[in-house]
Amino acid sequence: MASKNGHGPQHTKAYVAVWVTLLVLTFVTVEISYHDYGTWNIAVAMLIATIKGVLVCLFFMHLKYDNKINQVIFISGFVFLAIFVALTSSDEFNRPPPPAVARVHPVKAPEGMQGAKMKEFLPSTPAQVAKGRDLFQQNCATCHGVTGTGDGPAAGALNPKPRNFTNPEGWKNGRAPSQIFKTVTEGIPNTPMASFDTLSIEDRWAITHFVSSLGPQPPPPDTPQSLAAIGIVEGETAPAKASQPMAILPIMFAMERMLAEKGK
Amino acid sequence: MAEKVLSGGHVVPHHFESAEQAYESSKTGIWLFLATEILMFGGLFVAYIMYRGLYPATFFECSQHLNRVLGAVNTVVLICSSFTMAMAVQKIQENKRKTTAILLILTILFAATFMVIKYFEYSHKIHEGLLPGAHFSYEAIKAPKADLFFSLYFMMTGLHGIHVLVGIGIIGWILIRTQRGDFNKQYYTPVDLTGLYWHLVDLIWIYLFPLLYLIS
Repeated sequence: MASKNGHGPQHTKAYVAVWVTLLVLTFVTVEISYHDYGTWNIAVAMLIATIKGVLVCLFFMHLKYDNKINQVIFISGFVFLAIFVALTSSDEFNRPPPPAVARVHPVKAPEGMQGAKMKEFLPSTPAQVAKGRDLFQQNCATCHGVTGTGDGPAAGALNPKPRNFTNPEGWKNGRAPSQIFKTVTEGIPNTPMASFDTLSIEDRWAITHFVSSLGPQPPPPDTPQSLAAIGIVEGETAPAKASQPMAILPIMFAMERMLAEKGK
Repeated sequence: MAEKVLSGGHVVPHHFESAEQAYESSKTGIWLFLATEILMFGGLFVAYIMYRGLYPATFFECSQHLNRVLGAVNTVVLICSSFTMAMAVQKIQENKRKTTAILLILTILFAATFMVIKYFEYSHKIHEGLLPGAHFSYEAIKAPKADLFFSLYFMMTGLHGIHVLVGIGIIGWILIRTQRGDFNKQYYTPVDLTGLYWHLVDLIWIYLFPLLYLIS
């Protein structure tokens, strides 16, 4: 088979020239990298790399002398790559910076467990469960997982492990709604389960009802003792306390300040 | 239909109209494959671009931990291997079988040198605790998400390294066939195609090197 373009010794000269040029360009690009030209560094590095690449394609790979179809095929690979880069960049670089892992809410004085709201939100309703699902994703899913099975992204680092709410075993304070509410409000001392008393009473009940809905139904009933533990005593409605002074700096508050400063 | 036998002894497969067509088809086939390689490595390059855009300080700091000199030497080594490969294709077209074989051997030696240098780079990094995953233990980098850079580093150079190893195998096979007398100026298609693959491997490294090693 005769070669199409009469390849002969003339290519050797071209190859040697390209080879030497490639070596020189390599030296240049390395040398430039030792100096700081700001954003020019990456631009020049890519320009040099592209020149080298074009030389390899045109001469070593014979694209200069080749069938047009092969040129089109190869270029189209880069065209699609360019589209890939452009579309992904237009998404990725136009997003707001990722939120810090710890979501912090505007800090209000903790509402504790007082007031008419305690009795108002005690019974579970579908609306509360739905609201609780959203709050759960924001506040709880990092550790407890989006399905409440104790497998959130942060769970691996925690000891003891976060509760799996679909499993009726092992709940430290019990599974009755009032007991869940107590856990959400107070946390569990000496464990990574923090107190969420910076959430409003309404929010904590919503989360409580959502969490309760994850386990086997019906949940265990509230008892007078468990209700008393969260301040609900039959016949009485303790008056809502006014904003309490914060005796100790809450962790959430400190974290919010740190994050606000970091974000500047 | 009578088989077409070339003067060098090669038999043109009967589903081709001519030796010319067989040669052109083979080449187009390889170019299609090379386009897919561009997209495959392209995916990793896109990941690199995104994360470098998001964490420029990290990428700068981590790049300092790569050995620029070794990377440059490897670049030179691959460029030389591309040159010897191109010359091998040239020489077989001149029916110079012995020269072709020598050039193919040189190509393999350059490629092997590349892998040896890579081996030293990798083992040093793993020793320092820079292999991402459960064993990532390098403390000295201040910037966050250093393991992200090294994930990309190992993945991209690793995938490239696998391509080099495969290339060594293929060139070795072509060398054996050259010694067997399978190729001549009438028929040298496999040498040509191997050359195209090998130049692509060089091309990818031409981009990997500045992006990973030369971040300023």
